[in-house]
Amino acid sequence: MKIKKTALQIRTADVILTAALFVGAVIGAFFAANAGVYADDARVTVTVGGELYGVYALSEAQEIVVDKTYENVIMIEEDSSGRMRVRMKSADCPGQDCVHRPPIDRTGQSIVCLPNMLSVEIRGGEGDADAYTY
Amino acid sequence: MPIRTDTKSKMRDACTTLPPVRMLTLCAVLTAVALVLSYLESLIPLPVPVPGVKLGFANIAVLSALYLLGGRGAFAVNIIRILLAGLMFTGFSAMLYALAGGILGVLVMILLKRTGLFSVFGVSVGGATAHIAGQLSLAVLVTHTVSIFMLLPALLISAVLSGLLIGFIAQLILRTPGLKRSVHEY
Repeated sequence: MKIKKTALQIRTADVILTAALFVGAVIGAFFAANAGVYADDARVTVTVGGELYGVYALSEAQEIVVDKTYENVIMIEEDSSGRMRVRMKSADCPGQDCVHRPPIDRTGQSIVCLPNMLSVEIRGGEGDADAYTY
Repeated sequence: MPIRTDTKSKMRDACTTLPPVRMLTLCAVLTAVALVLSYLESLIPLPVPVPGVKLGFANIAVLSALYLLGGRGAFAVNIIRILLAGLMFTGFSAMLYALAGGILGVLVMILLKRTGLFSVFGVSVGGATAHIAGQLSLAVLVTHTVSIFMLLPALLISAVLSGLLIGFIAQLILRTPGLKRSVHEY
């Protein structure tokens, strides 16, 4: 059995599949990065295990402690530029993925803690339609 | 040398042409390799704020199983690897998400290889993206939060890149002279 020293085997279908996925992902990433609006009357929805845990006003700075399988502490606070944002202050889940997520401040954004099946989502308030149409 | 022609003759039916004991032993060896690769990977911290970004080292062993032992071998290696990793170090919750991604990923890889259109690169990239899609879908089902799909584009980009890297490594391994023959001749 002779093995020729050839270049790596790359076929047309590989290039098409990879390029299509990559271009699609980059376009998607662009939309995801710009999705959502800043809404003053937006609500912060906390869901645990698929069930609604609580709804809070984004305009009101507060600390929400969720104590289920694991403990999650969610902060609604003002960032340095004075805009309200939500972040996961702490969690005692093994991964700490949710704590390392960047804070969210626009409608449609979410932070998820998978081990606790917990999600924090910003949903549009009534000012949504105006915000979309500027 | 071309992996494609080999698959058409006997590689696809490795499961039926290989003696069961040999199939079992080779699956076990590749599962052990996959498990070690999973563990090594968990030691490498990736400085990315997006959860779920991984290099997917274990897929080197799964791809090897796919090309050397066929679809059933690859399926067995990946599922047993995930179950063992879950029991040993990732934990139950992470294991469920890994299973969702792993099952979908290996099925897509088997299908892509069956089409005969793709090399290891395409199969690897397809498997990596399917893995991400499976995991995210389960996360959306569990948390009832559709906006988790906002993570999809970033994860897809990482899956395509790591899929290419893993495909490259797997192809280097699979090109080893005499590797495929050594599986079938004894």
